[in-house]
Amino acid sequence: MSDGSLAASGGVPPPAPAVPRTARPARPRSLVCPSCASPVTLRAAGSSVTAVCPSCGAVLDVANEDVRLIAAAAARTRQPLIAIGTRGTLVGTEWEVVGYQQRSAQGEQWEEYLLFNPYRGFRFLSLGDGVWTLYVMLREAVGGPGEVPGDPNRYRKVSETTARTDYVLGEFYWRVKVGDSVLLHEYVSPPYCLSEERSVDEVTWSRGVTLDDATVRKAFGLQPEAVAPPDAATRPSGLGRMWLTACAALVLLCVLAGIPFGRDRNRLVVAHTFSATSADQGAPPASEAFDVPGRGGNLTIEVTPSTPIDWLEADVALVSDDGNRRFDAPAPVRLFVGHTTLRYTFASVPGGRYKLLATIEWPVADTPHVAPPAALFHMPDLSQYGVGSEKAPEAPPPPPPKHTEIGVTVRRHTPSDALLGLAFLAILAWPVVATIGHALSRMGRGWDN
Amino acid sequence: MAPITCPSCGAELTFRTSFSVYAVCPYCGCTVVRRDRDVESIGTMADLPDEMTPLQVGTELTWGGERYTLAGRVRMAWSDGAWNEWFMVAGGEVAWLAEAQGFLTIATPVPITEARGYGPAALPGLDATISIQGKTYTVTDIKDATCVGSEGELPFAAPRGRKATYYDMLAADGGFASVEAGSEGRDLYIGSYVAFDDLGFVNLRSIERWTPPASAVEARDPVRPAAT
Repeated sequence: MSDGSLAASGGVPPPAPAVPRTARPARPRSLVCPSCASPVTLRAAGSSVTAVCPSCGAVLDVANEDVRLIAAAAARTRQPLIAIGTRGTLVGTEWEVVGYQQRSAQGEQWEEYLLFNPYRGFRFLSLGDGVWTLYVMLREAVGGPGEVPGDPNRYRKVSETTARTDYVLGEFYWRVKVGDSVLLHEYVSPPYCLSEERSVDEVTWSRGVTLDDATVRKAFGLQPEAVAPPDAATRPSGLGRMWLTACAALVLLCVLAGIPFGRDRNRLVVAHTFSATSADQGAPPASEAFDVPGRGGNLTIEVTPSTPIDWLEADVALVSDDGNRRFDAPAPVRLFVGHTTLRYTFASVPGGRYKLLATIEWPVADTPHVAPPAALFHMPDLSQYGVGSEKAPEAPPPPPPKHTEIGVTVRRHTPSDALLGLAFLAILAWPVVATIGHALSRMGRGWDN
Repeated sequence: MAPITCPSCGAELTFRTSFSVYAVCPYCGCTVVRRDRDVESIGTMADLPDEMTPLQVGTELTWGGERYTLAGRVRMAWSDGAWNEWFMVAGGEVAWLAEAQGFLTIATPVPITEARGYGPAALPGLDATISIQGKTYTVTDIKDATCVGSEGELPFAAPRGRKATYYDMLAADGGFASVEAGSEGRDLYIGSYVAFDDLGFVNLRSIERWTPPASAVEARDPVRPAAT
């Protein structure tokens, strides 16, 4: 006999409670880590599928009510630049950092923050090469970089790499795993970019827009620059000696870096000014021929526009005078707002006579297909970036000059900034790690709540 | 529509639409199926775990010029996640609002015969293109899903464990279509992705420590009705 007969049979039903069971505010879900029994907060509960325990680093399957352990703690958790749980307002919408990934492709590493707002869904904020980009996943069927519905920008391909996930923290709405790889294609039309990620069973397209470093740091309450070393007076003597030694090594490094190549160091080989109008774009102008003496060495190309412009992109190549040898920069070198010179170094060029070819593109007033940065606030799809309607549109930048002079210089035996930088990092790594370790041991595990 | 009494706790259950045949008692979780004059209990539904969604049964929205109310919800889970299908009604109109990973789609049922590109028995494969009412859709996702919970009222019985396969399709203009194939047959829905701010939501569920966007009217507090 079914329960349905209960009311009909005249039995007195229990009084109904006054409040429906669901009538209370929604809130993050709290779990207990099956590995270490610490509390885990699901900030995007309902969407999250994978979560990393902030205490022990165990990877959890949180798709269902019964939480399962996917991978036991592999390493102590690291603190990202923006801590999980931090809130910040970007282009008019408040976001909470719920996930963090370190990814790499061909030796280049970048970070990706997963942002969540319960009314607006998810966004990705990436930091690579010092550039912040805010991405939104596209839900339209995208045929290719030129076939994005409603997007008039012309994108050009800048890279095709295999991107690997190296480290994860927080929670994700997909099954994230360290070691996962996807084929990543990137296309740009500054300040916008498109990213196409292909895995075995899925293709996803995202559109990004670059954000100003100061804007992002202010939004999430970050220090404007790298944290200064702690005050010497508060440090124990062991750390103090370590910093002194490191500083001495840095001074020595700077002196040594100046010695090789004597007067040839950073010597100007050729300087050339291309006087160009918008009609010249795409035509590769060649410099006068120049000699690289002896056994050769590195050559650094610098491209400097005479007036500040929003962006500039150059394909540079060296061609030997006899046409037998050619060196191409592997990808177009790009210049964004805020930088004045674009630089590329050919690591090893044998002696001989060369010409420089440079195909240079920059924004032009009479071809409006390239949206200037301020156009972000006029795009029809601005809701995808969470732009609030209360945000006043920023004044458009002055139109770029139709006539632009672009200076190109070639220098030899330039000091390698990258190598010097690596040496700097190597020297500083240990005192920094020791200082942070010291600070953390004093704070306890204060940062994860 | 005549009020119906929950056979388990005696609370009054009202069906908003004649399309609904199934309801979950909001007070005790008793699940009932409507018969001619009364209802039959077919079990109970445990509370769904916390979700950070502003949608709830009773939320109102405007779509296609009609004022809809969310009447019920099915929560479907597949191997890599879960999503919500909200049953929305406006007078004689019904539609489904799907909520997945922060994206919203609204779709309405259309006869399966409108879909060309696969025969009556066959089901589409991944990347198959299908023409529906003159528009071309590509199958982008196929998922086997199981109902893990339901609430409110629905046009079919949705106990836990009800299974269906979903074929999601996208068109180049943002159009969206889906075929749901279950034990009761195949149903075709077409619609599109929609933006939260375009729907004029009212009576959203409040979310701790979050403020609703200006596009949504402040949620009415269901614990303290306007009378107090």
